[in-house]
Amino acid sequence: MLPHDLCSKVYQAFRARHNRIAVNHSVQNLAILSILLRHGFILNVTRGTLREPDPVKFIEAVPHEQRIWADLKYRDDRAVLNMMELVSKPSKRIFMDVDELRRLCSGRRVQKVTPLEMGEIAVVKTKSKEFEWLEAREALQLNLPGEVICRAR
Amino acid sequence: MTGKGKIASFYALTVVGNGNGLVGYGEGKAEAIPEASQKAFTQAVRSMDVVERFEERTLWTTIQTKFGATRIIMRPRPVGFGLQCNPNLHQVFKAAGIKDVSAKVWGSRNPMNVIKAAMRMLHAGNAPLKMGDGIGGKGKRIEAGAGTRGKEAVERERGRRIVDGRTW
Repeated sequence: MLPHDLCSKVYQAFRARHNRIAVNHSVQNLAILSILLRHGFILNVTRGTLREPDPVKFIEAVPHEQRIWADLKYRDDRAVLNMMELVSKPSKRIFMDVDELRRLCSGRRVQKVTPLEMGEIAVVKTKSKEFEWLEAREALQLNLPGEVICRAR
Repeated sequence: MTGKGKIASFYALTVVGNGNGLVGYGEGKAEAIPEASQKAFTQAVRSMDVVERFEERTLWTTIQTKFGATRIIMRPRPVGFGLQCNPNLHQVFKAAGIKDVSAKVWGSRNPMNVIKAAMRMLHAGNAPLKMGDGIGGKGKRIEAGAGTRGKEAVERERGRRIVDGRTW
């Protein structure tokens, strides 16, 4: 599942005011949803099957029936996540080193990518084994360059 | 048009603000300019609402909107930058107490629509789902959109502190 699929699934579910979503079980999806959870965009992340979020049934399920479920968050009658879009596309990949990430996080444009506004986060995939999927500001703090996958606000 | 012929009327649009976070606009029509102006002023004062500002001088984020044929983008800018924008937007920002901003208007620059679009962007959405309350009627185009929200509102919504790395 490409990051684009995850982005569109998440923000369209918010627009349609769904209760929860189920996405394919992969390291990428788990990582990106965990970052969204850490930053307060969704309520929880659970493993499950294509029928319901149940960690026990997940273990017994066949790989192609395994899913990750996420409960969507709404506050004051509005969705907490308004938009989630790709930055690095298959047609044009966006890799940034630490200086460029610093520009992105501090409000200046880099490589034709609009800077991160107040309340916006970006997911960065690094080559580190321990810290592979990070938020842009976390990658900056840990001094790790990487590919800017997507942004959410 | 009456039995005696055409009767002209004058229209006035007034932008009112306290220069410190409150701004509103009003429209008035009457057969003489002073009356039209007075009606517009009264309506403007009644329509004033709070504008969320960063450091009481600029916007929190870049905002864009399309209102009819008028497309506007507004960007926050550093201290001392000033108001680099359309003259009608300049009046709105001055009244609102926004001191540093850069803005661009594409498409129609009709002053009426530019001001209405700007107000729609600045005022925080009171009817965020753009739905009528069943009593007041349908949701109005003038009130569409989410408006500008401050950092506190976003933090409260997510239940997390927001790290704003903006250097200006």
